[in-house]
This record gives sequence, structure tokens and C-alpha cells, in this order.
Amino acid sequence: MNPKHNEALTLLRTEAQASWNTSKTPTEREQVRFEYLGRKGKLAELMKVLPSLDSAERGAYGSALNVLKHELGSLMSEEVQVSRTVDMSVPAFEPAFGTIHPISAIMEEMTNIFSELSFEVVEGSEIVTEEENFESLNLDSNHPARDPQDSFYLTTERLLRTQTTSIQVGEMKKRFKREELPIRIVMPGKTYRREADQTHSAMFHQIDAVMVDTQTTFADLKGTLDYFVKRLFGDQVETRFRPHNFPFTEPSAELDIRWKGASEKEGKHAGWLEMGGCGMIHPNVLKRAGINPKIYQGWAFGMSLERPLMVRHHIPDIRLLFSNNIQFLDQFPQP
Amino acid sequence: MNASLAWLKEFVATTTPGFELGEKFRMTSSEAEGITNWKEKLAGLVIGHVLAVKPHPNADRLRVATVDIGTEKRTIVCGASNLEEGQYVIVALPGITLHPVVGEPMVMRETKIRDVQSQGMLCALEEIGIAIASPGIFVYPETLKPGASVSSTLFEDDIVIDLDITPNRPDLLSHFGLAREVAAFERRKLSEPTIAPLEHSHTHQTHLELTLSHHKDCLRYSAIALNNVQVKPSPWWLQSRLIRCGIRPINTVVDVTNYVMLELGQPLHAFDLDTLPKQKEVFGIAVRSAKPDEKIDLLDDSTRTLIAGDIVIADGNDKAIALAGIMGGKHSAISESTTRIVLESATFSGPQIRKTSRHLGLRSEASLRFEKGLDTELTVTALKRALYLLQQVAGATVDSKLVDNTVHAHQRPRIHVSFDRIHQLLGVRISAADCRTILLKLNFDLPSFTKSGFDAVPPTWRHDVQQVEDVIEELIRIWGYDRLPYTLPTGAVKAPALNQSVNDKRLIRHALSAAGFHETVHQPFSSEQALEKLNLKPKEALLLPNPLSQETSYLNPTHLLGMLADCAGINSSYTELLLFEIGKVFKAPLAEQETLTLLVRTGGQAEQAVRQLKAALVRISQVLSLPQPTYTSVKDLPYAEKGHTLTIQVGNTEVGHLSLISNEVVSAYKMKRGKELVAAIINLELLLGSSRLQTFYSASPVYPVSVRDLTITVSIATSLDSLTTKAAQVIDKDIVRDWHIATIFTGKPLPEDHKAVTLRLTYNAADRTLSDEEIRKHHDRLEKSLKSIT
Repeated sequence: MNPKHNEALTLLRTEAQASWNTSKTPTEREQVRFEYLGRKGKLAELMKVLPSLDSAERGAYGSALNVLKHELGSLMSEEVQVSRTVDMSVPAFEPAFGTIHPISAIMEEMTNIFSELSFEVVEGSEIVTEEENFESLNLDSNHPARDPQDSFYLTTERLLRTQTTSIQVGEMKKRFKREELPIRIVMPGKTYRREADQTHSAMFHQIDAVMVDTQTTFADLKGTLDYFVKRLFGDQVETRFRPHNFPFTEPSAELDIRWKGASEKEGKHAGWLEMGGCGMIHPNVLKRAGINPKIYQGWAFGMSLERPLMVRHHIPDIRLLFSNNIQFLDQFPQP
Repeated sequence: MNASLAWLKEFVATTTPGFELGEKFRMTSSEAEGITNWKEKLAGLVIGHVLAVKPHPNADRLRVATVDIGTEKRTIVCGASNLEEGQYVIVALPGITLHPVVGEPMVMRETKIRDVQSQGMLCALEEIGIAIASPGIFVYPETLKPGASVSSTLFEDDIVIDLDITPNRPDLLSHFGLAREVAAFERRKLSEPTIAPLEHSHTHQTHLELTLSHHKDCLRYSAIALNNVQVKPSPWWLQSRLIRCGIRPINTVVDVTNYVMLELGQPLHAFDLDTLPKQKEVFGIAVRSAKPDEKIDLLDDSTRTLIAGDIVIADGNDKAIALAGIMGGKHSAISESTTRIVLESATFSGPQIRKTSRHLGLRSEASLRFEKGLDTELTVTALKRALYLLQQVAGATVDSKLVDNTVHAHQRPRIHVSFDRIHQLLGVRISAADCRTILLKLNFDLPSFTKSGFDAVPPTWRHDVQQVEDVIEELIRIWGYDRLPYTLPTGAVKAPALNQSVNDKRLIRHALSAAGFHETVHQPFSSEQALEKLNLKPKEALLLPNPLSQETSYLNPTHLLGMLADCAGINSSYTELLLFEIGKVFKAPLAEQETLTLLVRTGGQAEQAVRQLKAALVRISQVLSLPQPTYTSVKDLPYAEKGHTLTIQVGNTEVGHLSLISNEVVSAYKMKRGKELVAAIINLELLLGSSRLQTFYSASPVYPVSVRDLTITVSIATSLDSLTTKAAQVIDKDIVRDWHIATIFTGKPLPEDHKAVTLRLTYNAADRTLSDEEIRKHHDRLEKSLKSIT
């Protein structure tokens, strides 16, 4: 190649690169691109001489010009990255999320825990017979819990169930007939008692759990409820069982829970809190379900949903749970 | 049951402090609900001896006493009229805090009262927190040591534990019964209370003649007549124990009957013998059923009307003198002039006492015990204990033979318990030695005891122990629930079946909350007025026969009652609101229906609310794999605007309806803002019972897709339904893959009363590329037919 041509190429390359690198804004770059690569640009200017050259020189210079054209084309295709200003500290949108009621949420949580232990969820009617609610559970007509003033009787024989335990015998009977053993069921739902104050409401929720097979023991009952409580409240919670009296279980016990080493000063519950009742299913109750208590045995557990909810979230008054105040509900966004 | 630790210690020498003893009771039988430490309650109060009383120089009603408090003499101004020289009184010195029955705690200070310095206060019982009214200061009738602590001198430095006794354990409604528990869980010796011997050789003036015509409900009746009884205030030790247990002292006779009841659990009753008719010295006493509408005047000054079945005690003239097991009659009551009494100690049937107590609305310490079923073996022991005490405190002498008639003695069962059964039920082995000790301490008889097990016979007072599980409970509660291991159930496990309905409701909750809906849970009770606000007929709602109040006398036939009340009430400021509730609603006569209710509230356009609600229903149908809802015929509902209710159809089932809440209802609730309310009420059983869709893959379009909008302007009054029905007829499904209403626009530049509706059509054929020409032709044809509607 003619040294003159070579020199012109080198000069143009150097000049073009320098101009490109010093241009900063998109406009400047467009100008540079136009100046060198445009139809009447500096590269096109050099090309003009090509037809007048001899064929050897034309080949060498022409291909060198083409190389430079690609080189500059590739260099000048780069976009300028403009820095933007976006305020990342803007607040979240005012949440338009809905909420699941805390009672439904804890009910789901509790049934899920029992599901992990192979328990099936069963629901039942809220209008029940005296037989379902009392007699089948060994509560004869003399039992203090059968004071008509404590229940919502609808007729002489039908009432709003006072406990989800009313599901128990019918369900055990059905399953035993179908030979669906062992029986592991958990029964959540609404219950009704004729009282209302800061810690009681006429309608409240309960959850019952029942297990029946040939061998399950009081120790199993303790283990299961301890598992349940730890899954619900965390591993730092411990359980205690102490005697009580229920007509449908024998032996019977009450379940208490406590946060290990918790103190009131830390805003935590200190001391034991009563959680629910439990015990080995009374032989009379098994018999009512058509189950031979000499072969089979089982245990039952029942508690209200409101109590653990109030304990867990430090809710001072049960009526808040049924206020349906949006401000209250929004405090419990967790599903 | 208020249990005095000092009293318990008479029977069992426990050294356990009060709080720990309460905990032991909690872990073995009865929950301790509270503890009163008398030493703390009365801290700082001392005994004073009134040496001199002088008039106050500046006040007629006040006097100035010089009181010896042991270490020194104090000048104390006092307004009590019963203050006299020589008395032993309770002194509150400056610096201590008094906790009176009424009012705030009071810190004592030395003060000047009408120019006389008072260095303390002489107290009435109410001023030191004992709810016993008296006209003046407390005066102790005998000599005491000045300066001694009031707590130790007058209240045995006692600790009183309030125990919640379960209904199966009436034997624990007594100090002796509780002491027996302490003896069992602490393995200590139990001492019996002192009783008076009855000498049969004695000649008696009086003769009691007993007639039991009501056998069924009087299991045993024991009675004795006493003479020379001095009715007067009881000695302090007796009064003090009653006070600590929450019973007001009255006189020697009444106090002793109460004392024995608290001690042994057997209620006693005393009649004034001289108020009863006699033939010579023979007094008739009958236990009989009340006559229908028989009237009786009771000790509480009330007159009660009885029904057949109630048990009464009648005198020789067949006149009712007491309501058995509940309360004595007014005419035979003990008075200051009483000298001869009949002391009754009986066992009445628990269920009958409960029935009577319930229908009269009358409960007493006695009925509370009887209704739980008492031990028939206790009557004579209690009578002898009372006799002993009355001899001590009232100079009583025996005046008749003991009459004692057992009708139904409790049959003690013999229960076989095998060690294997204990292990099988509890999951732990309790040693033979432990079983024996525990049951013997609880007064069980063990007539046979072998390597494999034993026979247990419960004591007469344990009617609740009937079968092997009951005996095992006795063992484990004393042995300790704490000592049982924590294990998880073993053995066969089958895969748990999913409860479809529960799972579906869970999906609905999650879908709706994600779509911005708040779930509500209401107390499902309403008043008649509330039903009327919604135009609902009270007759069709379920009326509660015994509601808690008028406000809550109906069970809600719809969740809207709660939701709308909140919109007008607690949530009135939330004018844009999405709510839902899942639960039973009730209808007369006895129907319950699982229902899903959705409510959308807006301050803007009602149509927007309808669209939002329909979108929620689409989402529900998606999460439940149901066909999308369709809205068909129109019907009217009481709370809906006329002509503004659609029925909601899913598949072939009508599952509910969607309504615009009427202006009338909105005004009845006096809502000021957010007055556009659209509700959907869905029968969940029908919805969840609908057949589900299976989801299958469908291929994405192979040939080009072309999306075209078609906007037509129609009058506001034109229903979108008529447009879509027409469109559905015209649109060629072979070339239109999907179509829907994309936007609805009103306002400028449209003429008033018009709206622009944009249909969005997705053109695509499965087998070819559609030509522009083909699409345009279809589009034009559609536009033409839709315009024909307007």
C-alpha cells in the first residue's frame, strides 16, 4: 500500500477514536458518527480516491478502508449510558391487601399441625341434639353443665352446640363401623354458651382432637399436645398437665403452658396459662360409639381458639375479636 | 372452698408453706384460685388496751383514749360510741397501710383532730378489710396482751387458699376432706376431729318421732334434741375461723352448724324445738314431698312457692318448717330466747336438691354440697361433732335419743385393677408399693392384692369412683401427671383423607384476602329491629327462646346484618371496603346453612362495585376449578333495589344471588358516605358441591393472532347484557379465539346519557393465517348488528 494512504488511514483512525472518546452526550456522539461515518463523512471522503487507483493499490487500500469502516462502526454503535435520578426511598403503596380473620388463621394453623400427625379434619352441625351434645358424652341430666340457663336451647331437645366435642361420638361411630382405624380426627368450629363478658362471648370457637386405637396412652396424649403447643407457640414453650374432671374422659387433665424463663418485665406472659382440657376417653363414651372399651382406647383434647389467640397477640378483650374493626383486622395480616 | 391452713393443720401436720400447698392441690386435685395471707393483710395492726377515756375538749362526738400498746401509751382520738375503759381493741399505728372493705387503701398518719394529737386509730373490722358490719370499733371480750400482733392473736397468722373444687369431689368441700388429700400426697398421718360420745343409757325428756314419706330423695335422716343451749355470740376462735372462710358469725348454734359443715362437709340444720307442736313431749318430724303450690317462709325473709318433688321437713302438724337441703324456715329459726333445739343431719338426693335449687333460683352453702351427692355415713359423725362443740361453747345437753334412719346407703363397688391395665392406659408402670400407699392414704380398701393386680373398694364418700379408669385416675393424680413421659402415638397410620369442604373454604379465604377482601367474623345474634332494617321477616328467622338480651334474640339469617351494621358503625369511615364472611346462617324453624357472603362498598360508581365483586367470584371459581359464574334471571330480594338482583349460576346450579343493596336499607342504617353497596350471597354447600373442571393443556396459537377493538356508543340505559348476548350470536368462534368487554366509558366528549363500550376481540384461526379482508368483514358485520340494538 502507498505509505501516503497508510498514513491517511492511521490519522483518521486516531482522530476518529479521539473524537468519539471525548464526546459525552448522545448529541455529540451523533455528530461524531455523522462526521466520520456519514454519507459525506471523512471515511467516505477517503473512499472517493479508490476508482482512480491501480487495481493492486485499489485492492489493498479498499480492504484496509473496509476494515476501518467496520472498526469505527462497531466503536460508534455504543450507546451513552445516561445516569438517571430515581428516588428509591419512596414509600410503599398504601396496602390494599385484605386479611384472613385471625380466628380463621389460627384454626387453619392448628388443623395443619394436627394434619402433620395424620389427623383428619371434621366439621359438624351447629344445631345439635341433647344426645349429641350431652348424653353421648356421659353428661347425664343432673350434670351442672346441663343447666338450661347456660345453653341456647332452641327446642326441648335441640340446642346450639356448647362444644365441638358434640361431633365426637357420631364421628367415632361412623368411622368404627367402616373399620377406619386408627381414628385420628380434629374438629374445629363455632360453639355457643349463654354468657358474655370480657373473656367469654356467647359464640366462640373450639377445636377438639380425638385419637382411638388399641394402644394409644396418656403419655401419647401428653406427647401429642406438647408437639402441638410447641408448633403453635414455639420451642420455648413448655407444657404441664394437672388433674381435672370431665364426664367424657377418665383420667382427665387440664393442659397449662408457660414460656420458659419469661418475665412480665419483658412484656411476656409469665407463669402458667390454662389452655384446654384432655384425658383418656371415658369407657361409657366409647361404648356409646359402639366401640368395645376392653379392646380399644383413646384420648381426647379440646380447647377454645380465642384463648391462645388472645395469649399470643396480647389481646385484652375477647370482644375485640368480633368487633370486625378494619383497624383491628389490619393488625393481623398474616394468613 | 376457702381452706384455712391453720384449720387443716389440726388434722394433718403439714409444714408446707401456703403457696406451695396451693400448688400441690393444683397438681393433685383442685385448682388454687387465690391465696389470702392474713399476716400480710393485717400487717402492723396491734392489740391495744384502753386505759382511760376522756371527752374531747372541742367535739361532742369525739373522745380521747389513752391506749397501752405494750411498749408505750398512745393518745388516740376516737368517734366510736362503744368505746369504753378496759377494752381490748385493734390499733392501727401511723405508718401502716389499711385495706378497708370499701374505698382505697389508707396510709395511717399521726394527725391533729380538732386540736388534739391522735397517735393512731382504733379500728372496726370493716376498716381492716373484713366484711362484717358492726356499729362501732372491734372489741375483744377477754384479756389480751397489749402490743401483740392482731394477725397472730386473733387470726392464727393464717393463710387461706381459695380452691376450685371439681363437681365430682364434694368430699373436698371440707377441711377434713382436704386434710385427707394432704395426708395422701404428703404421705402423712391424719387425725380425726374430737366428737362427743352418746350414752344410750341416758334418760331423756324429749322424744323425736320421725316419719320418712319421701324415701326416694332422703337417703338418711339423723337428728337429736338438745337442751340448755345458750344462744349468744360464739367465742372468738370459732367466729374467727368462720370469718376467714367467708361466713358471717351469727350465734353459737348457727355458728357451730356452719363450723361443722366447713370442717366435715356435712350441712346441719337447727330448729328451735319450742316453736314446734308437740303431744306431751313427743315432737313429730316428717320428711315429705312438697304439695303443689305449697308456700314456705324461709330464713332469708322470702316466701317461696314449691312444686311436687321438692323435699320439705314438716312438723307434727304437717306444716313445712324447712326446705330440705337448701334453707331453714323462718318460724322455727334459732333466736336469742331459744334454749331447746333439734339438730338435723341428713343426706338428701343430689339431683332433687339441684332441681329445687334451680327452679327457685336459690342456692346456699348446704345446697351446693348436697347437689353433688354426699356420704350417708357422715350424718352421725357430724352430729356428734356438733354436739361436742355445742357442749363446749353453748353448754348444751342431750335431750333426746338420737333418731337415725338410713334408707339408701351407698353401695361401694369392688373394682379389679391389673398392673397391665394401668400401664396400657397411661403408658407407664406404677409400682405395686406406690399403688398400695396411694390408695390406702385415700381410704380405699384393698381386699386382695396379687402380683398382677388388686381389688380396690373406694371409701363411702367417693361416689365418683366406679370403674377401673377411675381408680387409675386416683393413682396418676397423686403419683404425678408430671412423671408421665411425653411420647408420640405409634402403630399403624393411614394416609389422612383431605376434607374437601374445609380445604375449599381455606382456598376461598386465601383468594379473597389476596384480592383485598377482609374476612369478618360476627357474633351471629340480632334484634328484631335489626332484621326489620334489612326488610327481613322476623317470623322467618330463628328466635332464641332464652336470649342473653333483647338485642340478641334472633340468630342471624344473613351475614349482611353484621357487615352493614359495621359499615354504619365501627367502619363508617371506610367508604371503600371489601368484606367477606364464611359461616352458618340460620332460618326458622331449625335450619342452618353454610354461607359465603361478599360485600363491596364504594363511594363511587355502583357498577365498579359490581365488577369488583364479579371479579372476586371469577377468582373463586378459578381456585376451586369451577366453571366461571354466569348471571341469569333477575329476582327481587327484600334488601335489594328492585330489579337489581341477579342469580349466580355455576355450571348448572344456581348457587346464590348478587344484589345492589336498596336505598331504603342504606337510609335505614343512616349511612352518610360509601352508600353504594353490592352483595353476593352464596350457598356454600351448593357451590362446593358443583362438579369441578379438570385442567388440560391447550396449545398456544400457531398462526398469527390479531387483537382488534370495537367501540360502539349506546344509551346509558342499554344493558351490557343485551350487547353481549347479541355479540355472542354474531361472533364466529372459528376465527375469534377470545372476546370480552374491555372498557366502558362515560363523560365528555360523549353526549350525556351515553356510554362507549369497547369490545376486545382476539382473531385467530387454528388452521390458517387470517387475511385482513376476512377480519375486517367480520368486524364490520359485528359492528352493524350491535348498532342495531341502539
